[in-house]
Amino acid sequence: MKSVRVFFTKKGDLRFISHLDMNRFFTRVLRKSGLPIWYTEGFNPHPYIAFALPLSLGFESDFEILDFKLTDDNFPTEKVKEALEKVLPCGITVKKVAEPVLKVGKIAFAGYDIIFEGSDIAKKFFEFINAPTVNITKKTKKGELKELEVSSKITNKRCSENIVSVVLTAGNDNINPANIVENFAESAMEEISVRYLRTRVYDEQKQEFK
Amino acid sequence: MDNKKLEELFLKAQKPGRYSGNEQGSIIKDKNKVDIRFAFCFPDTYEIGMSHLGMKILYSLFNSREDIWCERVFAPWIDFRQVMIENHIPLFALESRDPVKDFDFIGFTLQYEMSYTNVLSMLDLAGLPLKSKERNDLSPIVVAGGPCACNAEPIAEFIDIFFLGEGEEVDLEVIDLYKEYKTKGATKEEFLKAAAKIEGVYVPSLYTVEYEDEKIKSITPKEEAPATVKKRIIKDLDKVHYPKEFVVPYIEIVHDRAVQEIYRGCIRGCRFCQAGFIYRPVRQKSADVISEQAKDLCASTGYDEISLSSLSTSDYTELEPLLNKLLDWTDEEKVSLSLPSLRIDNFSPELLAKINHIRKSGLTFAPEAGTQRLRDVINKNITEQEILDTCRIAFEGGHTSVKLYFMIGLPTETDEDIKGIADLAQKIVDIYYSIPNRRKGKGVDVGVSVSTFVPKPFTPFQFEPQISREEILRRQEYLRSCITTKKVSLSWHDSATSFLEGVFARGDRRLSAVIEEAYRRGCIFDGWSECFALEKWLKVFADLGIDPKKYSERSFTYDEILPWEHLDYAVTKDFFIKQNKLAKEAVTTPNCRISCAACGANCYKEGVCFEKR
Repeated sequence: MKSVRVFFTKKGDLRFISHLDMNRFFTRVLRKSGLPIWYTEGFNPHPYIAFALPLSLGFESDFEILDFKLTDDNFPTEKVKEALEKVLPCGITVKKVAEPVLKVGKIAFAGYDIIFEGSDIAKKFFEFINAPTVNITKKTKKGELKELEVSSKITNKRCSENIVSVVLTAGNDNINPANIVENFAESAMEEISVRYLRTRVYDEQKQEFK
Repeated sequence: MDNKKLEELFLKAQKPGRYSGNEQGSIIKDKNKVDIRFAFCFPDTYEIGMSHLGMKILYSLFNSREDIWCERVFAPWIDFRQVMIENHIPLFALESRDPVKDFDFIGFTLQYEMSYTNVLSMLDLAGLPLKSKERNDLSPIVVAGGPCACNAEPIAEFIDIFFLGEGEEVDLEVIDLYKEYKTKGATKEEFLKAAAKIEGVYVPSLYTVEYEDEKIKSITPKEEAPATVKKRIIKDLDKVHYPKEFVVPYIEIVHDRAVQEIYRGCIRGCRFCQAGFIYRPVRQKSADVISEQAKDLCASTGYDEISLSSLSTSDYTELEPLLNKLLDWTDEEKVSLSLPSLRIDNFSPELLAKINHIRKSGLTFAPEAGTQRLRDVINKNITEQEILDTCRIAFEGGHTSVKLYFMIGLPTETDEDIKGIADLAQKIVDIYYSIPNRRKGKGVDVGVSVSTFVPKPFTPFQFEPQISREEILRRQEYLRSCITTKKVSLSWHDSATSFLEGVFARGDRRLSAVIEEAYRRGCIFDGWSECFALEKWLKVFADLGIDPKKYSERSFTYDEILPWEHLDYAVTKDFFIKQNKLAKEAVTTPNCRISCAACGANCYKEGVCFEKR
């Protein structure tokens, strides 16, 4: 058995597809790829697959991570890329296939581009996240609203034209950029149209996740 | 359409994936290189419509022609519908996102009566006048097919053309005719008159209906329109087009699997069942063709489950060889098989062993009635012993739950028959506990699901009244009081929905006004309990001075002109009258394979009618 990690993009119309739906979608893609996929051994065998960091509905991404297993220890990883490219739709590009180096639990940060309609509003948002305190309200899993101060969790801030780039804590202490934007929109009393792109995922040392 | 704006709006919907399209297997063509654009509309949500086999077949068939581009359209759910209205987004097709108003054909499939207001909603969203006579241009032509087309009189004013029967041939003949008339620069009227000459094409505007009180006085064809329109069938199912690919949705739909049709029609002739008569005669696909097509479909879609589709799987004559052929490759490719619609009387231990081998899923059976007398009335041709034996086999095979379907309100039903449902369920519970090797520590669950009888056109019960809503509720309550054990779980259909179905199923054109007014007052998605409001409908009936009970609770006489009298589904009215009389005497009729009951379906010179008996 060989573990494989695929790094890919999720762009365009695929941003309308939720994490759960992507799960089912990839199960079918792997079946179609003809790769020697390792199946679970229960009564209903299915390919074992795991996504590293679920992406919110509506987000695009340059850095998605999928793990699965092959039955053949010596199967070349280049061939995995080839086989997947044949069956993946436009919007998903396989960037890299490799054996996993780190455990998924080591993911600690994620980079995002927040793309606004104009540079003025981007600049205002940039000021908002550079303030000494950045308060957001976040819905907990139980559905309760929780107040959070997140200024220390927003790093590597950059603003260029209409795009604000940030690195946010991810994984166990996950911050969703849409949460910050919502709070900004509320305080600025503005209706904002915005797109999100996940640019990269990092480990605890802010090195690219492998 | 402005894609950027549209995509922003998608994100305002609860499930954007319903509208974004671009799924694997969806077909994109250059609109400048096709002659005909066809918007295939399913008047319900994406999840329901995408589960429908007929749409998959016709989508694939139409698109196999270079000159046609067929696209899919579903009814936008109430959240996104509101967004569309607020932002002036007209109804668009999923593939091109072009407004359907600009298409040549807008085609609806009518699967159930409760979707009628959604048809209006979709025409309205498209920006088209609702009534056929108010749409003067040749395009778009609004067409409709599906089981409800056998009596779609309640929406006849909104539709230009109905297709009767199976669409694979007749649809293309009409498209070709349209192409010719469009090139000629003909008018809509000229086209409709010419189309009406094609067998299976019903142009409602070419018939005048006169009424006398609640009955119909006459149905008169105008000019050269045929006096009766006969439904079309496909003669050879092995040769008819079947999709090699399905559009595979990203979001989860109701039936998210590959589907393989194994035959059309039904040999049984249960007297309440419309499907059992309007799809006659039975025509089978050969096991080799089924297995090959199923294999191709799994390979192209990546689905890991395939379901065999028919009205009664176990009536397929080559079931055993078919399962062997399928299991040859499904095991290896880790594809699971599901066999819906199994009958109780030919359910063998061998078959059960095969299903067990495939996947352990729930077992469902449909005795339909609680006593032998009533099962004879409805011609179910199943004995209590067969039901009990089947459950015993299932329990011995390790099953711990069965689900049983029943109907209340069937003609001649008494309280004794209703109590019979509870008694039968209890006997099944007792059987479970009489089995020595039953799974220890596990109780049995007998699910009893009860729907309400709706008299349907083209059945022997088309003449019968439906029981009143009050009576439905009383009988439901009585049944509940008869069930004394927690091992039996009871569920039933909403009585209000059944009532309205009963009105529309045997409705005539006078109901068009009701449906339009109900739509104007906000009735849509009537098949959904969160949207359906009977009070609104009753108010509309009252305001328009139409008594719905004159449709649902009235006995139609044998000699009166039925609203669908001018439509010919091969099975004759005489046969239905004869069957209706036999029902009253509780006399059964053997199925088509045992002996021919001379229903009339042999006129096509095909299928089971010509099998050796």
